[in-house]
Amino acid sequence: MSTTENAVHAGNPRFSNFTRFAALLKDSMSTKRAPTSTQLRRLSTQFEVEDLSQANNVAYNRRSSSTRYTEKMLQMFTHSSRPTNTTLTINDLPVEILQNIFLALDLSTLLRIRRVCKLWKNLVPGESPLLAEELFLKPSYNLYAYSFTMATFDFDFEINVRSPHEHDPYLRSQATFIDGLSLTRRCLGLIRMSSEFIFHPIIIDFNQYVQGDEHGKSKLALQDHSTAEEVHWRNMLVSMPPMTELRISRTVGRKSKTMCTLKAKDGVKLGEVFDTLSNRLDIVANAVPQPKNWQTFAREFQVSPLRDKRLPTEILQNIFPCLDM
Amino acid sequence: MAEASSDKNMIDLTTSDNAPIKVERKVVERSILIKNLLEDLAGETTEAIPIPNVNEAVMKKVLEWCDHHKDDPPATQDDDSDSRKKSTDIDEWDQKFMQVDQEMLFEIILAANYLDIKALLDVGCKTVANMIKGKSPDEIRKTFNIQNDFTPEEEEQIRRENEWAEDR
Repeated sequence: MSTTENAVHAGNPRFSNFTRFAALLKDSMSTKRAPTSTQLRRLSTQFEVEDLSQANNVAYNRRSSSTRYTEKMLQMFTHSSRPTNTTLTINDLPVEILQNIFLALDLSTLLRIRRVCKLWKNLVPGESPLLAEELFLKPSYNLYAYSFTMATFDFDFEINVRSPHEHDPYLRSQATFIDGLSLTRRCLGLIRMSSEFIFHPIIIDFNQYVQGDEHGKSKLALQDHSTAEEVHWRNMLVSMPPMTELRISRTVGRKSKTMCTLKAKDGVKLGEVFDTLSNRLDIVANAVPQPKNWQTFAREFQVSPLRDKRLPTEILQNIFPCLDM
Repeated sequence: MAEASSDKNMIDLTTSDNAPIKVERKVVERSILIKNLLEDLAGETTEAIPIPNVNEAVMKKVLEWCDHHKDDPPATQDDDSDSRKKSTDIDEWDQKFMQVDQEMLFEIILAANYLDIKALLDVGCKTVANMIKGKSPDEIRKTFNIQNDFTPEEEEQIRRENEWAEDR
């Protein structure tokens, strides 16, 4: 049972196994820094023949995998590769630790620190499912875990027929219409009731994002550049856990009418919601010749055939034939 | 079986700079790595446990923390997702404990990670998170001495895409 290289530790038989294991691990480390799975397998077959497999079995029961244990042991007997004469700085920390630090930060701070350096940008979210969840990109669990919870959210808004540009009835712009769009408070009441959901801040402060700044322009509408970047609000989910269905309805007076339902089995994203909303607004803006006609137009909308359509182009193609103009 | 002449409740360690440390078993068992090791060896070892990744200064600091927290209830079995809290509140003693220079702070974090002392790792990470909070990217770079490797255009692009999340 003894191997040749460990005559040094011949004293206590138990302990010599222990140290021999260390030597084995060091051997494998000298060739490559991170152990490949085959190396680990080779190691484990080697000590199956040896007494140390007992210790390994104990560990197997305690943890989910023996590989994890082997990794720990590997780490235990390895001097860190860091040269001792240089100063330790934050980016010398292992990436998992950096990500663990980032997990304590809120969404807006996470987005801000992506500007610090390329490493940080790549690590937020990087491979971390928990950070991806913080950024509303992906739930950290399989969606099946949530299949028992409610996944439909009513997104209710009103079209305000009062023109914000009373003094100039002919001035029309998309921003004018967006000014009149608001997420009703009734909806926010619903948010509070379903406390198991965390809504994206854009949804929670919806009015702030569509009502526009002092120049009368919608912030979100202006900001929509290319989305090659994965970490972009357009790719963020409406809530966490994600909504698989989102119904957009419109309130005129006391009546509420479903305009369309967005469905996505991986969760509805903010980009889809805003595309749909701004398309609706474009339709209003293009089709209405003068502000005084908005009210009539709004009534026409109530017989909307748009249920369950989610592509903005389809919405456009479907709405125009219905307009009696 | 082993001729443990010394107190069974005292454990010998040897740090990376070959300094011997004697420590109460209960204290050092805050380290899951050492705890499991001691269980696996079932008290049959009389040799000092080598800790090749931690030097004496850092180990003493870590053990100081372990000693103060030796009677804490053991961490729950839940995986990190459950115990994960957004709060960066740190207990007063821990805050004082973490008032060290940055290098020592990172050394403690590395040691806590290596020795598998989850609570200490959490405190360390929260301390660093608090140093990041509320700072501009430039201030963060200054604080941690990080080189800005973005071109001004690249940085501006990321800034613009996330403008909505600023000044909140």
